[in-house]
Amino acid sequence: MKRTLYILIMYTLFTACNSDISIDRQLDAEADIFPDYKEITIPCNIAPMCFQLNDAKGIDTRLIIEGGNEKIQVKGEDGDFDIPIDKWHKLLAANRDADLQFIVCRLEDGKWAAYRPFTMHVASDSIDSYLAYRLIPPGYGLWNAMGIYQRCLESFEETPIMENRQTEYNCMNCHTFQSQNPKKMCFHLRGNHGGSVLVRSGRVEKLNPEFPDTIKGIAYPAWHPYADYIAFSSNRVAQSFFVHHRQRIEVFDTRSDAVVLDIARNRVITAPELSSTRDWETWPAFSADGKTLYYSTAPIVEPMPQEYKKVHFSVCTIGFDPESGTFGQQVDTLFNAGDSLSFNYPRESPDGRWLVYNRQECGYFPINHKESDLWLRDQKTGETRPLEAANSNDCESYHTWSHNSHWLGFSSRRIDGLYVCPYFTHIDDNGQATKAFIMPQRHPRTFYDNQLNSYNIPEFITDAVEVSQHTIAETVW
Amino acid sequence: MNKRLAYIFATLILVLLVLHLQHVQRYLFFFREQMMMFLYDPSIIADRYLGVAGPAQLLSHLMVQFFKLPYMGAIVTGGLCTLSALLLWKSLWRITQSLLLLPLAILPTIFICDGLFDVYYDYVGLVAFFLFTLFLFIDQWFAPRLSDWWRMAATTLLALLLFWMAGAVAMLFAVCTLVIELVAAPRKSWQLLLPILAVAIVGAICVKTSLLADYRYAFQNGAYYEPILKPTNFYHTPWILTAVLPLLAPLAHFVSDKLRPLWLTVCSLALLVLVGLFAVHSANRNGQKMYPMIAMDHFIVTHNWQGLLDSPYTKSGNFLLMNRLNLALSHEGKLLDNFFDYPQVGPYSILTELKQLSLDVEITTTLSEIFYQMDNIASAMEKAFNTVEGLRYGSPSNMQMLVRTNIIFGAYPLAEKYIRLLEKTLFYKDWASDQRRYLYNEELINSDPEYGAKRKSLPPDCEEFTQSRGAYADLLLTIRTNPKATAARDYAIGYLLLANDTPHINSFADEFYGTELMPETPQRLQEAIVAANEKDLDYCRSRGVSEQTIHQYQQLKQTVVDARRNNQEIGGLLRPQYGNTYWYYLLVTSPQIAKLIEQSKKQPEASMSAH
Repeated sequence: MKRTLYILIMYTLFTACNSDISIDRQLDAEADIFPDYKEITIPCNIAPMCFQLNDAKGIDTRLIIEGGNEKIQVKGEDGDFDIPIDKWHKLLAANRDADLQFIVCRLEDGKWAAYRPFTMHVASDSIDSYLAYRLIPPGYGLWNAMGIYQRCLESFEETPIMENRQTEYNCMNCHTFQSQNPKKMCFHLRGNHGGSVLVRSGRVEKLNPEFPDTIKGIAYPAWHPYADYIAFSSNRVAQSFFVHHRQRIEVFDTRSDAVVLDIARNRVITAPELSSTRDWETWPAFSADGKTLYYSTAPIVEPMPQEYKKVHFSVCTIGFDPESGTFGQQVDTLFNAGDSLSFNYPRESPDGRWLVYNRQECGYFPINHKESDLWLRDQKTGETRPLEAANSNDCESYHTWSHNSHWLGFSSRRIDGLYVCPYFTHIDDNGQATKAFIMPQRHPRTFYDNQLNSYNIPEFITDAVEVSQHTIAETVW
Repeated sequence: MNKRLAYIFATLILVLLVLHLQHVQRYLFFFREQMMMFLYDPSIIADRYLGVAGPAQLLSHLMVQFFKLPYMGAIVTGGLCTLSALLLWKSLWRITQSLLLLPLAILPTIFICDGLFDVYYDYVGLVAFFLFTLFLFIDQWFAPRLSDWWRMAATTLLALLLFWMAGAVAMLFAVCTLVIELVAAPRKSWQLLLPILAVAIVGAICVKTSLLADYRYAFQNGAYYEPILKPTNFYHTPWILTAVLPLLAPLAHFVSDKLRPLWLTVCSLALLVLVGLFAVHSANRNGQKMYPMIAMDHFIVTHNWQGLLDSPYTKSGNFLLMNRLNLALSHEGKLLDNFFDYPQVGPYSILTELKQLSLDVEITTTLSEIFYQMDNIASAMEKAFNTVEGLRYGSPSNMQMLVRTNIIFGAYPLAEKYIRLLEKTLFYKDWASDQRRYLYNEELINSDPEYGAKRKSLPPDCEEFTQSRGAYADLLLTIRTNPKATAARDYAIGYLLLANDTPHINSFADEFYGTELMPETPQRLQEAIVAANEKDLDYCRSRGVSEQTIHQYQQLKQTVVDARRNNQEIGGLLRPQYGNTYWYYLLVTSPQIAKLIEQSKKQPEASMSAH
């Protein structure tokens, strides 16, 4: 008797959890889901693209994912579909360079009704396994906890690289890796224990080079693709609040210069063109071959912030010799801002084929400009165009290239206009971007609703950073 | 008899403690409730409360959310303290059941309550101590019932469990079990070195693996102090007292044996009175610093403006208190009429100097409310945002402000995000759900008496920056945009009066007298106009100054001339008749402020104000 009862209970539980459904009727409507993952291209190694059917509280829901001969069904909890990770990766592996079809169903009057299906295309290009970012409040002065974290993009695991609770809750910022290599990282600490922290193959150092008098505090780093140089800008940053404007704040510099830190010789290299007292120079970054330094520059405008609309940054280049650590004599203007635009944050793809940059109306801080969009330059032809499929009505900024030059990660405020989230877009061989998608989460609605931090400076890395927080903290204390 | 007496004592302690705490920490409890948001969300609970000391933090937050209710803070805290004392006392029963120890057992929690006067000492410190006494009681209960090895294993496991649940207090537990054993069964006490060793090792591992940032968080009471700040040595005291208590047990036992029951009761009662007197003394010593501000903040958060004006903290002259007072006056529509009934000490009485203090969470809540009242929505939002982000677990009233300001700005996705979070709280969910009706409903917002009026004060797509040219410039922008912004108007006038800014007083009157914003000139502004233009009374009349005001001013002038001729001190002379006028501020208060500023320049260390 007991055995029969046991079998009956187990059978009921098993069938309750796993019963596959069959669709009784089609709905003439699209599923309203969050995040919007419809008709996107995804990497062949991405974590499950879980999503939620909106307004489905208390309703029985199912998700059917089909690709080739594989098919999985996922039961929804209030419309939240938690796709099993093993089955998902199996599905991806079987459907490289093919489409997955997603059918969202809901139970209506005891019958399963299906919304119009949508697809995700599985690209054969993989994405770098990890994304490193700083989690900070998108704030205006006060902070409490912040840290640099790494998220495995093949799963949902997030681990801290360094949190400020290890260093008395000071401000920490701008991290950079050499060519997406997790073994070579640099970031800054402010306030107590301030300085630049360099991690190289498990060794941690605190950089303490002698800076020229004009350089006060360095930020926005970019590592040379193969040599021991890190480009920085030295910024005296300020911010002001608009009384009532579509943009909340304007961030500006009272002074900025670009410099290169020669790690091997513990010295700072600069050039008159990069540290002019008449111009701002910022966002330096090396080209893929390491022989050119890109940077944004604009004539200094005063008074700030009142004249912020007159600030227009152009993107310039200057030659750099990694052998000798010297700059060339000639500065070329790649994008001339004129008096109506501003170009910032130039980043060349690792294969040197594309250059992606920010285009906005004015200023140098794209993250606060709603009109800021990502643009792409074909480095062979010089042709430029917006990444229309990836851009939104809100700002896009802080882009990062995957090591294979086929995935672009970037920050966007498109969900709510304030909290910055990481998005990805595929760049094909012709430089065409696909519709961007937000970094997948296991329960995306709850996750992004509860998130009160911004994902600041997302940077792809090919593997996890392994040096421990404690090792870093011991070095900087 | 002893037990019955003990419970009578415990009840007495509970009642006295609750009354005492209600008297001295009433507003601190309200303040603590505002320093965190407990969100009923499984993912947030798992994220926040599963780490080291997470369960204690969970208990703490669960309790503190109820501090919003009157008396609840005192009842819960008094209850925790009494229960802790009782458990601690009972934990020593293996040594003695002396009643004399009970008043001493309450002493550590008195020190913890003393520590709670500092808002940076987290309430979890008391909860952790309570869990410690509970674990100690359990340990001592089964101690005589287990064999030596099982005892050692069980105590070690309890210590490790407590380390996970409450953090650093596990070290106190391990030490106390050893000390009790040293007194109760000295020969076997070495076995209880193991729990200490286990906690030390696990604590060190937690630090080395970065689960905890520092050894302070693994082993000291300072673990429960705001991590950004360093606690003083005072916070060691309750733990040291607790560890020493078992050593006093034999003495208490000896004295109890010698005394008759009546004398024992009298002595215990006397000891309890002494502890009580100490509690009162320490409360008086510690309750002076931030308490008035915290009390006023409660009135601000609950929008009880009359309560604020009736509070005993309105006569201080401290800028931060005056900011709060003037906010209440403004809400009651009495900012100008009753302005000089209070000790205004310059423009910072309206709005404290932002550069110095704008990043302190103790003031950003108030600043946010002040800016909101001034219709400076961008600044109100900024300050509320800073407070929410500056406090580790958020702040409900500031999140409400973020909802309000984002609705006014029409930033609906953001307002909805904050509404969703508030809907996960116990006490704010109804308010939050009610705000949903405003989302994407322009018509309703524009017709709403609060939101609609604030919206009218927003200059359309304005290139101006707030706080960049001072408070007066921002106020001017508001009242030029919205002629019905009377609160902003009164603030602007108040600012001009306190700054004695004659050119702007005149230009203000020139621009706004006879307009919708200021059809009649407020009395205090009339006083300023006539004082600034005493040689051109026709100008005064053309700016709304009444004949009566002119006459009063002439009388005042004559009084001052007579007083000076007779070498009389004008302050005392003018106070009865003119003490609440701008003229008194101009002739008496301002020179005193100027003198103070001069003195402070000569002595850089001297403080300008009471804060």
